[in-house]
Amino acid sequence: MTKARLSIVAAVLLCQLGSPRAAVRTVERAVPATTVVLPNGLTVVLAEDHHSPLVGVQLAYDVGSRDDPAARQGLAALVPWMMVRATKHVGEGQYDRLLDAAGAFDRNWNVQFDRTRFDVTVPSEALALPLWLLSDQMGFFSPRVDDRLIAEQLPMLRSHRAQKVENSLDGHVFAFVQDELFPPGHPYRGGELRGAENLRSLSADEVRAFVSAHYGPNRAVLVLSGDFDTSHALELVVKYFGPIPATGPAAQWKVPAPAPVGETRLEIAADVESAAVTIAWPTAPFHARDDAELDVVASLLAGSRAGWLRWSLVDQMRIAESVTAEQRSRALGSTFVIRAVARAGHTAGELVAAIDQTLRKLQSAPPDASSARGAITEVVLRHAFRVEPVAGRARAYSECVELGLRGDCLRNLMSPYLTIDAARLTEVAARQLPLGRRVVAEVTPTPGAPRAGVLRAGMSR
Amino acid sequence: MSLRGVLACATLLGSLAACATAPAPTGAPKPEAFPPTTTADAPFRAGPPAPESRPYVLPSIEETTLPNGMRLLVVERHGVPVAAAEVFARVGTAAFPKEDPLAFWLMTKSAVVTRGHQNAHELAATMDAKLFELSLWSGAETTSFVVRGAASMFSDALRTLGDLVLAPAFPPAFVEGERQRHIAGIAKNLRDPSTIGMRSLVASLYGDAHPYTRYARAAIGSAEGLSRDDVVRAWKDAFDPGDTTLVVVGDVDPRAVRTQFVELFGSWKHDPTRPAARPIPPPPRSVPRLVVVDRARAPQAKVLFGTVLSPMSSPERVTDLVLGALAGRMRSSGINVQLRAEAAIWGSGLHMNPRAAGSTMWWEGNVDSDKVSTTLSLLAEQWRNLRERGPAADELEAAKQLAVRVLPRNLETVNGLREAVVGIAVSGNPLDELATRRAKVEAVDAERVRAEAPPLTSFTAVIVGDLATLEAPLLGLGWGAIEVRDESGTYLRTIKREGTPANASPQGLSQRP
Repeated sequence: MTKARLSIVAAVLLCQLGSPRAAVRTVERAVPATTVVLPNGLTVVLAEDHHSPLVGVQLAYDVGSRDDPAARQGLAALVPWMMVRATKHVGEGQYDRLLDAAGAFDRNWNVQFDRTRFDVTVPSEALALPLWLLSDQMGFFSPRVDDRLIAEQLPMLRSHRAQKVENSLDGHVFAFVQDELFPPGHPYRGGELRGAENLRSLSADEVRAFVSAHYGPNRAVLVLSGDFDTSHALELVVKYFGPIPATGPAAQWKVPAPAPVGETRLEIAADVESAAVTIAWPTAPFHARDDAELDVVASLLAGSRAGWLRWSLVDQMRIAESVTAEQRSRALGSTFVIRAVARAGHTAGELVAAIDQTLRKLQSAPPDASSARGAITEVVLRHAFRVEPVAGRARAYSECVELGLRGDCLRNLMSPYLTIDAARLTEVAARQLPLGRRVVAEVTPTPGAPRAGVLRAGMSR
Repeated sequence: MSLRGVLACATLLGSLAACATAPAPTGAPKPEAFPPTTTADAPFRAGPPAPESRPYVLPSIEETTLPNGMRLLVVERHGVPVAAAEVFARVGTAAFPKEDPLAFWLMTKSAVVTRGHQNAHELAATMDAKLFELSLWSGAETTSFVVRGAASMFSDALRTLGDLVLAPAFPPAFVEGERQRHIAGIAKNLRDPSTIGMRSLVASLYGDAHPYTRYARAAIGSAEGLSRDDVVRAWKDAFDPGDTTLVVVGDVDPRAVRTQFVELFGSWKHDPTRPAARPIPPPPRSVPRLVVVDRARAPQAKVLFGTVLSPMSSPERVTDLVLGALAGRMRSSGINVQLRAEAAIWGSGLHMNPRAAGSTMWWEGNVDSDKVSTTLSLLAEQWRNLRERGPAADELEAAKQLAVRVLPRNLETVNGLREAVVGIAVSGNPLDELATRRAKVEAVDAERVRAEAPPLTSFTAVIVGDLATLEAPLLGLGWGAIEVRDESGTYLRTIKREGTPANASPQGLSQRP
């Protein structure tokens, strides 16, 4: 299936670039993934593909940090730490031991604003093992929750947040920025990785109630991608997950998109050698209109092919040592972020002025064909190679279910990129990245301040 | 039950369930008050399911050698229409001690302007039209160019590789631009705690004058005085047909690749004036035990705990793979369980860097300052136990399973496959290394693990953190003095417990408790 999709991508892109005569292989007939909804509401996607003897498994719950109770921020981030520790039939330490012995890898869990994902890739001979483990988490977690388990896992959550946010300048600055972007009451306020300070005296009953309300089969998507027989795999899924009863329905979030009325400037002092700036805009949600274009705009500004900001700030003006740009796509509203670190002797203000100059250029006239083509190619190749491993394909199929995309999943995920042209990039950059409505965080080197930065002042213009 | 039967049942029941579910409300969600549910237990849940048997055929490598000595290694694998290739020289900066390693770095960056591509934009246009990516690498032991892209147009990517190796133009303005870009990035290389720690670890394990240390420090070199002549000399040093190999993997036709290989590189002649590559010396026998790079007021420390294992060509490399799993690559290994429980360490890991003069192995993690000495004690205890008592039988078995079963994962993507083949070629191991891995791992027993486990005296701990906080607990470990280095890995001073001689030098720190 991947073969077909990659070739289609190549073919479409070549036509778009005016090289339709270039050789494109005859594509294999696509093998569609099978999607089934079990009676308990569990959505199951089975994408059989015998390219390598592996199976990528992803179980994605429709629950994330947006669902944290107001007084228990961080609870959604804590739950997976406990789920992988012990469940009714999986003893203490057995989760890791069994997966290690089976040769499992790329196993992780990830709590985002909108989803909690458990990923693992196993040799195909061990397909049943993750199904047994994940179904025990879904159906038999609550009996193992007690005060000791909570107390033992809270330090891990603290350590995780300390590493990613509190002790990291980039992470800390972005936390300040997010609090400005998302107004009080918005489910994204507080960031994806929330701290453990609100979880003191958390009781086992509170955890059980949260899990019962949110982590049921009707709020989950299970994807198997890779080397298995679909019929046999579905039998296993029904065996392990079929008896688990449904839980409460997912809340239908409907929140207004953040709409800054002006520019907010944050002044951050940090004991660092170089000044830096982070500029962020609230932008179109994941897979909504303009989202794909913003991926390409990010590549155009700071990618390895076009990289306008890199060329301007690093190579020509020599005021920056590095520049990055990224569209962070999320269901209830994305964030477009530009970051730059100044060379010695230059200020955050200089960086902002130079970045704005490049943005004005992009917003006033379409980029040259070469830059646009390079940026599109970079993004398309990144997406194409993302679905090369079974784990990447499992993730892609899961996203298709979340987005409600029907039909050919991998093609549907890619298709928005294939109709983008230079004029569209300009139009989207002007609409989504207005210079007067954004958050600008300037980091000033300040001896004696915390290395990860401290917020000195914030003001709106 | 047939697939059709399973699907029919599941779909019907699913439809009924869907019919019974009321449409979800819109608007801001209210707090949930769903009654707890219970899943009925069943006997099959009592224990883990047994694995099924599914054979896996490891890929085979086809080799071709040109009369000029250049090798071609091809692994044909279809199913996904992508391919990857790497042309690499089996020499890097370590083989030419008189050359500045930065000259090699500048050479690989500048080689993209060739006689075939007059400027970087032309190359980018080719990459865009032919759908491939290019990356460049200048290492201590290899110099390489890598492409990955759509298989249907991969001959264009291979042609570009040939161009980079044989016909770089090194225009002075372009070389100067890359030099300036490097200078812009120096400060960044001095900031990252992991990179800082690695520089000091390599300097401690291999010695300040060792080629590996020169390479590790090159990224923070000023590049002042480097000229186009240095870059051209680095290119001549690095690439010679007798030391160069092309690896091509993925959805390709091996015959077509061989034909193109001959076309591209068949007429490449050996340069008799090229200086001989020097052998890389082995590391010293003893190393300082505790090294701190001061990061005042950092609440967490970056800790690296490393040693030198067998060279990458050694038969004991396979034992090292098992050793690595035991020492931290397995999430369930005893040390990881202990570190999570006693120091709440998240995201740590064991790393290996295969090298000709002795491979580097190190544990690395972010540790709260007040847990650093506990962490080091646990790591030391683990290695002492491995050396004195050997691994527990069940843990050894799991480690061996992992060393074998990780192969399909490592070889899953074209980039993974390329790296595996290049690794075999660089280390000089036989081309059936993948196919014979299982049998070799099976032969590893507890005694071999014990024998291969390095003594504690060979380890160095590098801590990038707040020295004022760390000093007392580190000295309290009884491991000897603390050597303080700066971000570049340069020795600054020694801190000893009161009562120890004042004139200790870095070399004098090799005394062990």
